[in-house]
Amino acid sequence: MYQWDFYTVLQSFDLFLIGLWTTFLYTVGSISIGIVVGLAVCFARLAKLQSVRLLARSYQELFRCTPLLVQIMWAYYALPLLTGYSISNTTAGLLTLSLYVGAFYSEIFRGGINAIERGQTEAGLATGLSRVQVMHHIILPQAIKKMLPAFINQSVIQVKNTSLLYAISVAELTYMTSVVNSETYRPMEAFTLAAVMYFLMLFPLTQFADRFEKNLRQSD
Amino acid sequence: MSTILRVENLTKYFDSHLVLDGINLEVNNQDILAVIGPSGSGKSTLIRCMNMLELPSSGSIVFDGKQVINAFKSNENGIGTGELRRRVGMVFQHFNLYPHRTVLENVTQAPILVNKESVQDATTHAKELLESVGLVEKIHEFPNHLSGGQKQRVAIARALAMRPNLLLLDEVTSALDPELVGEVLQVIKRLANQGMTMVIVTHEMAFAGDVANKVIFMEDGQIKESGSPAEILVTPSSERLKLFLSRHLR
Repeated sequence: MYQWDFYTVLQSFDLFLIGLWTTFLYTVGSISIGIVVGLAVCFARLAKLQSVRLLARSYQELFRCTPLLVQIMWAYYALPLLTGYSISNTTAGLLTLSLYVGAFYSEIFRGGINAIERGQTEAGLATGLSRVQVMHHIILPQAIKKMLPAFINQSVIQVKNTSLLYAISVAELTYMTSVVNSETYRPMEAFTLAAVMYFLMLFPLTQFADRFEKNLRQSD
Repeated sequence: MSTILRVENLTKYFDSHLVLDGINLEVNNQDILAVIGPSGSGKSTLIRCMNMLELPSSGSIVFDGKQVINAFKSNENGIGTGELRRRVGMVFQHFNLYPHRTVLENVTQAPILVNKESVQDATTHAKELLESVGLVEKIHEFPNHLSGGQKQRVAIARALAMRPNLLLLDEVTSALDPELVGEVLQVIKRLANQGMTMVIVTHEMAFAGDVANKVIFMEDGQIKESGSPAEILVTPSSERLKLFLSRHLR
């Protein structure tokens, strides 16, 4: 029978807190940049110019169809060889996470916008609103509601994806857990604790998304 | 009578399919022009070209003496779609109310955003309009809580809120349950009596005969006959029109 000993790992609780905080920062940072990237790419996909659409499409497919871990490694180890400039693990990590989630967000945004029927745009245009005003006052307020569940879902995945930064020694929660493990030799306790922390962060989010989706279906 | 809208040699293709084939017509101030014809004859495309929701493939739209151009802002070449649509209201078959806005907000949005009316002025005007279409007690409801007839009356109020010079009505009763058609037609009838200039695409022949002063019959993207309601609806000349009317005048 395994003898649990949380006391030893809890003595390094400050290391977990550092990891938790770093995970939080990378999540918020990459989601924020990802939203901006996602919006830009989404509108590029809806653009009139075919070349713009094609460029946006290529970006989406490149980042959606390669593993995030490969992208992280590539940005950190391969990109400097290509450009001649070294890149910190912070920059490589944040950059890759942001571009990765941006590619997924852009499709979620586009789906939300396309789900709003054409008549809404026509009604706005017919009263003299500009295309920008129609997007701002009529389409986006409705589209955001429709895209929110998928957006939250992708963001939950994003929180967990920060753990891949372990591979380039960013001091996020998974990396710090492995530090604690190598100091205490208590993998069972260390990684259980990490899992509990991730769970406590994300469970409320998925619950919220579920409830929101249910409300949405009722109001329709 | 001064001409408010003129359509000149208008053609419209959807890909290689010709939907409007050399349309010429004039709408004078206080005219009520009814457009009738079988489905697929190009009626809706024609009325949607009048406010540039569909762009003409060739030919032109002249509004208030000025050429309509395919640009939002008016310039020395003519009147832009922004100004055109500010002055030409449209009511759609499927209402197209904004579901995330209350009845009142549906009506005040464009006056506030486009005409820069104060919220107070826009609200006062919207309440008057909603009262005139019999919906003043619904102003804080959301569109989903209204019947089809009520929705369409809100949509009419929304179009009128911009104080248009011309109102386009595109099969506004076709999506309604039969018992709700009357309340909407009644509102349009009253607008007609107030002298509102309108183009009405409709399948309600009796109504067209009642309110319109001009009727055009369209088929295969062309105007096949035009004239007074009596000429078109009572003494049609072509066999096609006779056949069409026999199916629609019950």
